[in-house]
Amino acid sequence: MGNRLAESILLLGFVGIGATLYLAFLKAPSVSINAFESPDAQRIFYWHVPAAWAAFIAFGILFVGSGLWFFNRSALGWRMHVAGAEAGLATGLMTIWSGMVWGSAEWGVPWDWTDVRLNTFGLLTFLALFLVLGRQAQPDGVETRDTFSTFGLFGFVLVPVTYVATRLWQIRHPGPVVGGGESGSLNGEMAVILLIGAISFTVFILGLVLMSMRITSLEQRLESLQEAMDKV
Amino acid sequence: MTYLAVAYLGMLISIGIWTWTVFSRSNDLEQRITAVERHSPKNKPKSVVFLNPSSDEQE
Repeated sequence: MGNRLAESILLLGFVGIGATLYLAFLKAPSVSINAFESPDAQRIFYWHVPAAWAAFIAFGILFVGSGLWFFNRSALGWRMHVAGAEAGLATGLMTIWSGMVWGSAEWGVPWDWTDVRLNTFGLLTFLALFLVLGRQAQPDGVETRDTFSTFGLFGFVLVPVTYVATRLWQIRHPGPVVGGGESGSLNGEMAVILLIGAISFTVFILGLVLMSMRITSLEQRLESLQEAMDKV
Repeated sequence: MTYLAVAYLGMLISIGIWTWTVFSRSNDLEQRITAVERHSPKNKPKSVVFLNPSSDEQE
């Protein structure tokens, strides 16, 4: 029952993301040619911003899960850590890919190594990659979990730094469009499509986290069953 | 516009593959657990001992 619910949430999120792409590509109003070098590429914003939002949720889950495991030895906390790292990697890569496509069209280069926002977010995604690959390469145990949880706890400091980066050190990445004062205002239709995207990505990340937690639980069950059989 | 369409489709296909991978990992683990449980000694039927009436008579 729980599995079917998680699968349904994940599929619903996926359909929502597809709908967001359709709306962004074909229904969203065009932006002024004076404001952007490549106005068409601006449509990628309806994918990029919600993906980054979902990545922050995933890294929040990673942080909470790491803390629950490290301080309370909570099995649920470890499952949240694993799910947060996998979901953070998926949404982090989506954000980086969409940003690089936009950067190529707007700036002429896909990446700017001097921009704080780009580099801190890149480090966050790299952290998620390290946690996902590291867990697969190491035997499961308390020491392994403690090590990866420590990275999950300390790595989270990059989230607030990434969030405030464009406010404190705006170099190339555009400033905030939501909650950024008058400079970040959106017209009604744009805001609605962005909201649909944010809801879709939130639902998708929720389904992904639930499914990933279930997979970790199944892996642990299979391992204990095999150990029990080996003892016989 | 073409490169944007390709980028969008690439992203949608990538996310679709990722979603499919999650589903298939879950299904694969469920099948393996079912198979292990089926072969677990706990689930094997207890052996039934048929006594040979003739052996009883000999005793």
